[in-house]
Amino acid sequence: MDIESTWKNSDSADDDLNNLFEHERLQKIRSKLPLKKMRTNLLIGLAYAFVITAGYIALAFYITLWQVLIALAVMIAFNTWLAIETWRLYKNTSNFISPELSLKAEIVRHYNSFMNWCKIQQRVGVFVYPVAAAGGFVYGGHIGSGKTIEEFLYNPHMVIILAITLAILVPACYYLARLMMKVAYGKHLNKLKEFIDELE
Amino acid sequence: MSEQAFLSLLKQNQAIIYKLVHVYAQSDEDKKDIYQEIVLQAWKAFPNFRGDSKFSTWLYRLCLNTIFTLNRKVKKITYTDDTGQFEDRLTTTHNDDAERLYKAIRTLPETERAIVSLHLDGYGNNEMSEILGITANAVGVKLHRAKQQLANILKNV
Repeated sequence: MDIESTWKNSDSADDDLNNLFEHERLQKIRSKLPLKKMRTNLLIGLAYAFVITAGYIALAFYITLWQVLIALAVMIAFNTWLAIETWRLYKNTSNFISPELSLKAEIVRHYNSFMNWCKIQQRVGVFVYPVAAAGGFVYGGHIGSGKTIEEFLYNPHMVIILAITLAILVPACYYLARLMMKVAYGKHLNKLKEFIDELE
Repeated sequence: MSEQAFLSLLKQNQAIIYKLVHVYAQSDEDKKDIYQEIVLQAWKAFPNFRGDSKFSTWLYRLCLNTIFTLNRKVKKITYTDDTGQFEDRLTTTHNDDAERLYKAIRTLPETERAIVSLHLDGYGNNEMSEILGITANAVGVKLHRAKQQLANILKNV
């Protein structure tokens, strides 16, 4: 078999492709690119960050306990920082393919975007959820027991429980964030990494 | 340039899309998804096409970049000199020789398929190196290996 001539003469009409060269069909095509999904998720994350931060700010007007106010301030600062990071990633991530980039550069761009998103998720897992849970524990204890926070935490058992809760929550949230990314995009990321290695 | 002009330019170069999709798609559903994504991405990127390179080269790059970054099911390839055990669920209208050739190319690793396709379409090592983002030397090595594998596979089918 003459490979070159077989290849050159191999193109034949395909209705599935020809049908796309019509105005109506072109307008209806929706992208299934994983980066597009990631950008949508970034926007959803951003919306949540705004709503939650607004909730914290509103809560700060009703709470007079200085310890809880400090925790809220920390949470607002973390959320703002994460929202800025998320917005930056969203702005810097194009969900369109660039024919100006080489194949390797395009794959690396996709891979890095996902890894940056993964980092943001892990930061949320480490900084936001455990602090929120610990704040909730202390405030819930204060309300439930009717004691001041100092009195509530004076009981060594409560301090131990709080320490254990944090010791479990911090790694649990971190690994949960990793696991969720792995479940959602693990195969895709492994495949991109394999392609990069093949092109190295 | 208008949508009509874009579509007619794409139509003139549809062989590129057709061939590359048949080199990578593993099923009819896969094929349709890749066709759609390529046409959409080409439509979105076209306003930035400045004509620095030929439209065909621009489209080649776009097709490869799209195919490699889509979340496709990728079959793990173990090279065996034989296409017999390679299960295909892709319906084609090729003649026998073309069908054998596509089937043989589909048994190669993904990046080598790109190199073989580019080579068969007349691209030199330097152009391939630019399109793929690897050195011309690496292209040469991979192409040599892929050609040998392809020859062995085609000998056995």
